[in-house]
Amino acid sequence: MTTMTASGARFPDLVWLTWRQHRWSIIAAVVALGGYGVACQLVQPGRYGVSGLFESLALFAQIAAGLVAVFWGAPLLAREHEQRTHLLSWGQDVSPVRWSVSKAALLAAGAVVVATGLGLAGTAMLSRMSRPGNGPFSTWGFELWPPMQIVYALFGLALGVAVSAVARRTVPAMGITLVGFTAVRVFVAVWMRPTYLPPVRTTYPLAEQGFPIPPDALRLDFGDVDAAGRTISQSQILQCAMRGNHADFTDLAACEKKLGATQSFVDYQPIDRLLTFHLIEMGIFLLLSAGLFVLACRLVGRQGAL
Amino acid sequence: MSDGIAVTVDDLGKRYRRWPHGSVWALRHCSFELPAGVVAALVGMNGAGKTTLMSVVTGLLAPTEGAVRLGDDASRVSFVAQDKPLYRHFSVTDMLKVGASLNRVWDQRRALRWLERFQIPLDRPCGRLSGGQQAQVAFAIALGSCPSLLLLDEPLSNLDPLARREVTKELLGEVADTGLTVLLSTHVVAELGGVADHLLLLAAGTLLEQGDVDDLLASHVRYVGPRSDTSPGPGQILQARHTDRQSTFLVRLASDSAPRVDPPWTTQTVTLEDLVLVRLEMARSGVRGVAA
Repeated sequence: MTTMTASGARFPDLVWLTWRQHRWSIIAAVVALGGYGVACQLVQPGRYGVSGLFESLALFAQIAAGLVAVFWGAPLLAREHEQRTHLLSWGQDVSPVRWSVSKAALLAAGAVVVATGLGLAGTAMLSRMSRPGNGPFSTWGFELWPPMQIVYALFGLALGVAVSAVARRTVPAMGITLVGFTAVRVFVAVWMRPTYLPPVRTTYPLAEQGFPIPPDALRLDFGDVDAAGRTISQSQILQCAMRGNHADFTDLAACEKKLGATQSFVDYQPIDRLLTFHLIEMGIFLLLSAGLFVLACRLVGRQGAL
Repeated sequence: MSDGIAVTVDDLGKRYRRWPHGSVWALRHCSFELPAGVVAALVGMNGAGKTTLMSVVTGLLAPTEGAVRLGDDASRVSFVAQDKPLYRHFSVTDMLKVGASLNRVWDQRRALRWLERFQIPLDRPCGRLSGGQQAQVAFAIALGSCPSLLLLDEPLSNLDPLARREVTKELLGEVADTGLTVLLSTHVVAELGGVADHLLLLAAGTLLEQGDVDDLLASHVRYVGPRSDTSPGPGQILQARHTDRQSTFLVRLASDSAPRVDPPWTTQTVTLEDLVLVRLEMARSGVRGVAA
């Protein structure tokens, strides 16, 4: 209760404000993380496939960054605009840009902590399951790695904040953020990730069963090649077989011969590229995050932002 | 009152883009000065550009053209928006802490004093206060940040008549105590009597009238007399009204000296409300400027 304290508008003041405004969503995230850690411990390798708990937990880790985007990022500016409180908060000594950057940075720090915990718990659970298909290059193995979880969360937060600077209404901002986050994550994971580097191709005799690729490699395309080394895709062979009289597997061998196949091939990304792939995907998401953060700051700083 | 200038507004204009309908000038060619320590009333009908002007002076909105210069002793500006926004889930105490956190200079006692005067419960969430109480919290935060220029957008609109009078009185007290300059907007002209000592009259984004209220009132006079088509005295006629037997002319005088008129004509002083209404009527009927 002092008169004329000349002490406000410092970093601890903004920490207090951020905590006071977002404490329930922060507490909810920490509680969820604790529950997640406990649930991960409950997954027993032997009971895999019985409860579905393992899949649920792995799936949750995939969407957790989306929750950060929707519940931390999207309301950050949108709720201020919606309740007109930006007219109060942005008219004080702390500039709107500093206000926004401080809050976003503090929430980003919180997101890093939560994402790290989630990634550690998820990765540990995955390694205990130790079955083929959960390797480090599998979708879950790749995405649950803690540094990946961190960049996804940062991207989610940046996307949410940028959308909220444009949309200015909480619920639409949350919706747009959810759709945008899902679209980018799926696009990168499904269409971009397999092609960060040209795949390694290995060929093997036509009749051989199974794929002769090193353990833990990420398997991509497979099919046949002809004598000149041209690719004969699986769909070409299947189309040929379906034109035949009886579409069964005996036709497949005949079609392979007819199309001039001499060998089978399989494309894959070897496991020693894992770190490179992680770095490439982290780079993509960090660049996107930085761009979105800058965009949000410019929108807030443009002043016409009322 | 100090002799300085609190704020100088120079040829200010603000254009809003209204996609896809082109753009609209909400404010155009606005120039005025406010002496430090005055209570200035920004009067205009709804949509005249009052909020835009206040937002630009506050710095929340960038002008499209022109500039706002704050006086040397008026570097701190505080703005209370029309809807008196507060964080609904914050207690009143927390709201004051927000004010303290976001300002380099903060006077907690001054803010608390205001709240005590109006008996605002400090521990209640702002969302559960009445509209009038919320307005008081917003005023307390604005005063706590020790402004030298305080902008209040429709400050009295949420208050009951008794609270209006008390808020006005306390604000005038703050002005007298601290040399604070106040710019308050209103579309209720009757609220201004005895409050404003400076007038800014805004219509359709342009200033129709501005200046010291006493000077403005001294330079206008009303002639009342028998039915006549011509004015009995000097001055530019702003409004002429005729009944079957009586004519009334409201005129603007070239000098402040009260003119004499021959009986049976009499002169009457003009109130601020009269003047504002006449000028707004003229603006509506298309008379843009009046030569002084």
